[in-house]
Amino acid sequence: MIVIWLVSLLNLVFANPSLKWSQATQITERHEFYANNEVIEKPKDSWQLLLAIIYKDSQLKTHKDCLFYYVPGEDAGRLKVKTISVEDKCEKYLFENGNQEWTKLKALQFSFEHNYLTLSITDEFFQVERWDIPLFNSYLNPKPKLMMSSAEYRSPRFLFLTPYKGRSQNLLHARNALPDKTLCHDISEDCSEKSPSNCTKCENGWFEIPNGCSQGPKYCGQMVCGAKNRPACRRGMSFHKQEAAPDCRVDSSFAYCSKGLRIQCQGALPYCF
Amino acid sequence: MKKKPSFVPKLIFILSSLSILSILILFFRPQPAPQLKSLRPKQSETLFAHVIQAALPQVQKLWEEGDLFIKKDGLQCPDEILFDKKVGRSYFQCQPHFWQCYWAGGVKGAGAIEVNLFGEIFHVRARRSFKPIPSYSSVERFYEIIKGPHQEMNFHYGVLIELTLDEVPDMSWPMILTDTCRDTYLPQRIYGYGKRPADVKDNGFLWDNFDRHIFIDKFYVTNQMVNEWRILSGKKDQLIADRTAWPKPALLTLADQKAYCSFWGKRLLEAKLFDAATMTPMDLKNPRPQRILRPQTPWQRDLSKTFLGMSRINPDYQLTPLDCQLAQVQGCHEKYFTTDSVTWMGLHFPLGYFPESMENTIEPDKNLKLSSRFYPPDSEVHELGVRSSWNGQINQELPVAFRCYEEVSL
Repeated sequence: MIVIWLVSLLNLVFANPSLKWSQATQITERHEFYANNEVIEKPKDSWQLLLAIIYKDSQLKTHKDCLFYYVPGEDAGRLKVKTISVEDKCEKYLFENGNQEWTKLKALQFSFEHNYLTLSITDEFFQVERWDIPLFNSYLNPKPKLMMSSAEYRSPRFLFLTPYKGRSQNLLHARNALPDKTLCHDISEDCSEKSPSNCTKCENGWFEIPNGCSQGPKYCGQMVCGAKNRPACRRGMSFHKQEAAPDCRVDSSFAYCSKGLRIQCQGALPYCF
Repeated sequence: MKKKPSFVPKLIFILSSLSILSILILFFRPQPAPQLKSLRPKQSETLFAHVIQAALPQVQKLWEEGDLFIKKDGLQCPDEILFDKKVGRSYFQCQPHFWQCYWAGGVKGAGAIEVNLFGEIFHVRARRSFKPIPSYSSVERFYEIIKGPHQEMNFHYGVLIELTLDEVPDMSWPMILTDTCRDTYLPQRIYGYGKRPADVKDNGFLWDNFDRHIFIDKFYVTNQMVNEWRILSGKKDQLIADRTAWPKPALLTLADQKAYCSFWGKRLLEAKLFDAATMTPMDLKNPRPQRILRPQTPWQRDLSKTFLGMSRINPDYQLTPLDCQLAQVQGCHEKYFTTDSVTWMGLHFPLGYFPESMENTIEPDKNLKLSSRFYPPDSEVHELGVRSSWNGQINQELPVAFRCYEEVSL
């Protein structure tokens, strides 16, 4: 894999955005209809958002580059890159000038897989320029196993920021951790996941209120379970006496309280009294 | 008269056949795969990126296995990290002070990381880009500890470094090293809590961690780690300056132990997790066994067959070096960060060493593993599942260590 990355790095030119994009932490807002490597032909004479690339600069500041393409028709194609704040949506900037633009294009293709982004641009002389961008920070979380560390499970060993030229930078350390009491993993009573977990972003860890599902709702912060007037602790999934969807009022064996306390259900959630 | 057949046509036939065969063999001979020859990039930026990428396996080795770089002479970094025979080599793994020592020239024979690429030797170095820590020394540093997460960069503890290349001196590549040495995974299965129940048919308290990803610190939290926390929390006046104390377990109040773990997104280790990590399962391949055994030690199901059991029977029992490798009890030499005493899932110091504090959600009063180097080998505290009570205050006569665990929810 490293060899492929190295070979593809030969194509990187610092003047084009490939090197900074290879530090991307996330690719978002990908056009839902354009298939990988398909020549983009429709809808003619319109601006389309291809995707957005979120990356860190050398000061740990997060940026978002929106890639817009003007699909050639009566007019020639154009590719523009607009750098915006990460909280902003790209679509707001569809008709604004880009920070960088490539004009008089005949065609454009792109593809994105989990750790690789490719753009192929054909100019007015039918010369093709290809950007192969390995996404160094992209990571498929492995299945945890004996002797694996949490750092290996959650992220790559190296997290890359954007290389820079010249003098040492003053690093900013703006963080975006979630404060205590934030609901970081929303699970409904019927065990369905309302939104994916972002508990790893909690400032001070997180705790779960067990509801008998394989994943219970989770909140940022610290709380000792099992104590008086506190949510019960999670005992596990092997102790259900019933097959159907769990209900604390019918069977609370998925939870436990500290010695001397008993479980009382508040709705579907077990508490200790 | 019959003419004698000429030998020439036969010879021509044989030679032709051999020629055709040779051509065929030459044509179909196994050929070495064409080698991908990469050209030296013309742009210095591309060359830089290329060489740094190629150096990463060596950078990773220096970070994760720093101990392998230490020769017999040890280290020469008195301001940074000390080499002490009482301190095991694990202390130098994922160790930012060793990183600083190495790049400051404190490791004999250490220098730039050499990368052979495009037929040339390139030299990769860490850059001294970060502010000094005045309590340690006045020199600028080769790293900075940072706390995550940072917008989709998923880490709690990160070491920010910058790599440079001698051959492209104006460029620098900042990156974050993660701590892959600190904790270890607790496999998903049914576990038991507490001592072996008196009734053989009684399974005691059982629980499981299916669908949970739990990682437990391998070693105690040290004074050096607590110093990092205090620097990041703005409590620089509370730093422990004595380098010899850095590898030793941090002795904090219960409230501070919890605050430390919480700062890094973790929790103080729980008693039932400690039991799970130290009581070796009977059948590792079966995560849902019918019976859950409670071994009395991590190495032997019955304590009577170990040196601890023998010490109880024989008051004159002499401790051997092997005994002290299994559990550092009273009478053993002091040693830290030793990897000798390890459980089935990679946790160190299951018995002996230091009293260890833990949260107990099942029996809240039983919050201390008392087995330690302060008790003789015949003491009844040296048994898995045996716990005592701690009031959470620092007591010079009873130094209490701790470690953290983390449940990762992705």
